Amino acid sequence: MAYDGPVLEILFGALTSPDDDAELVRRVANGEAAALRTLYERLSPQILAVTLRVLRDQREAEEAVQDAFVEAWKRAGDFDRSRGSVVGWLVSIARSRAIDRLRSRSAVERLAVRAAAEPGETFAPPIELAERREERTRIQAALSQLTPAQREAIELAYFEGLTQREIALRAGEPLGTIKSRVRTALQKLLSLLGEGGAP
Amino acid sequence: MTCAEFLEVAEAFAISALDPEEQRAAEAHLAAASHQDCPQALARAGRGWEALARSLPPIRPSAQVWAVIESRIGSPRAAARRRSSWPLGLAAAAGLLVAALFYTRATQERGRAAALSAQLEDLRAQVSGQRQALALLQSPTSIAVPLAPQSGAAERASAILDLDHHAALVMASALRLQAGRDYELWVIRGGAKLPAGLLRASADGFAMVHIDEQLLRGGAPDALAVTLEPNGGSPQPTGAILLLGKVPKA
Repeated sequence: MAYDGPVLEILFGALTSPDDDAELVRRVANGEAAALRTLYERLSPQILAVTLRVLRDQREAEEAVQDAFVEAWKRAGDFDRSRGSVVGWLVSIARSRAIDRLRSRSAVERLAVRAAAEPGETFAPPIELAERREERTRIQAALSQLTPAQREAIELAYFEGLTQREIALRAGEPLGTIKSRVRTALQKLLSLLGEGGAP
Repeated sequence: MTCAEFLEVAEAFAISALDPEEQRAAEAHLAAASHQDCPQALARAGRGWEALARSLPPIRPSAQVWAVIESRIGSPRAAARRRSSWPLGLAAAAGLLVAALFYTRATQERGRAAALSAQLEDLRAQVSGQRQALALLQSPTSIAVPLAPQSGAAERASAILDLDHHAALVMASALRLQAGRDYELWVIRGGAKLPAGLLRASADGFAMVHIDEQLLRGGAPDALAVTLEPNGGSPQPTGAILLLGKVPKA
């Protein structure tokens, strides 16, 4: 696919397929900065949503996005399509960088960020195509069918980067209970989304 | 680790939520040649976590985010923008002329930009410090501890401690920049004086330091103190105590 500039990518990029994303990563591995730009235009809003949810600080979240795309530029040759999608790969890199930043914060900084960004605060105007909005609504509906404890366990693991042991300590519950809860929750989510796994 | 064991932990492994030892064992298992269903289970788990990411509304990054990425990867596009597209000779001549005419101006502008950038960073640090202090003050379990000047010291400092959250910071003012010397903060508990960081003053004599949460895990300190130490600080105080604040017991 020829690179026609960011405007066209913003308008049409999100409608292209995972195959196109994988082809873009192949071109990034060959040193094509334009392909990275296309991936950025297409996927960075979803990636920023994750880093912002983890860090709750716009500036730091955007820095984590920068780190992720620079890392993707260097490691594009390592991308293995059989292990998942491009967006999953990029989100995974960005989430790791965001959690590194989260863990390096002092206790005071953690308190300050929590106080500044209470849940429900709008950080920036969200942009979204109707197709993606429908997908998000479907996922949120599936998430709402998990028990509050299941949902909390997977959100603590994913967005706060806690290990299962840390979640168990925080919840005051046995490690085995948390392990089982995380596993069941994710499988149930996949099942509700029609991806197989235990209902 | 066996395939059956890996399948039990694939979901947590996918996002590094296992204990480090178990995470390493799972990684080693995944590198083995043959599997029952391990790579597929890992990919399936990845899709589950990805769904969690997709549940969030997307947010467009601000305009400068890509510019920073582009400069960090050394993009040819960024380099091209820096290069002139004129024929080489003409470009060189024009470049020399521009350089001759504007060299002084450019140097001044660079200096001014650097100074403004430093001021901006200073302001950002101060705003961030104030935000953190406010957050601590808002915590219902925080207490304020003034550090009283000793023997007529001119320096001033206060601490805010939230022992329930193991969070504390000390803000100082009227600090004097002294060559070869640094202000050092001490946590005093049961006769032990534990180094708790340097108070490095800004140009206006202000400094803020966070107390490491590990120093607060042993309960409330007896007191906080500030001394003047050789550059880089000391493992034990060598200077006289300039500021001292007793921490009230709950």
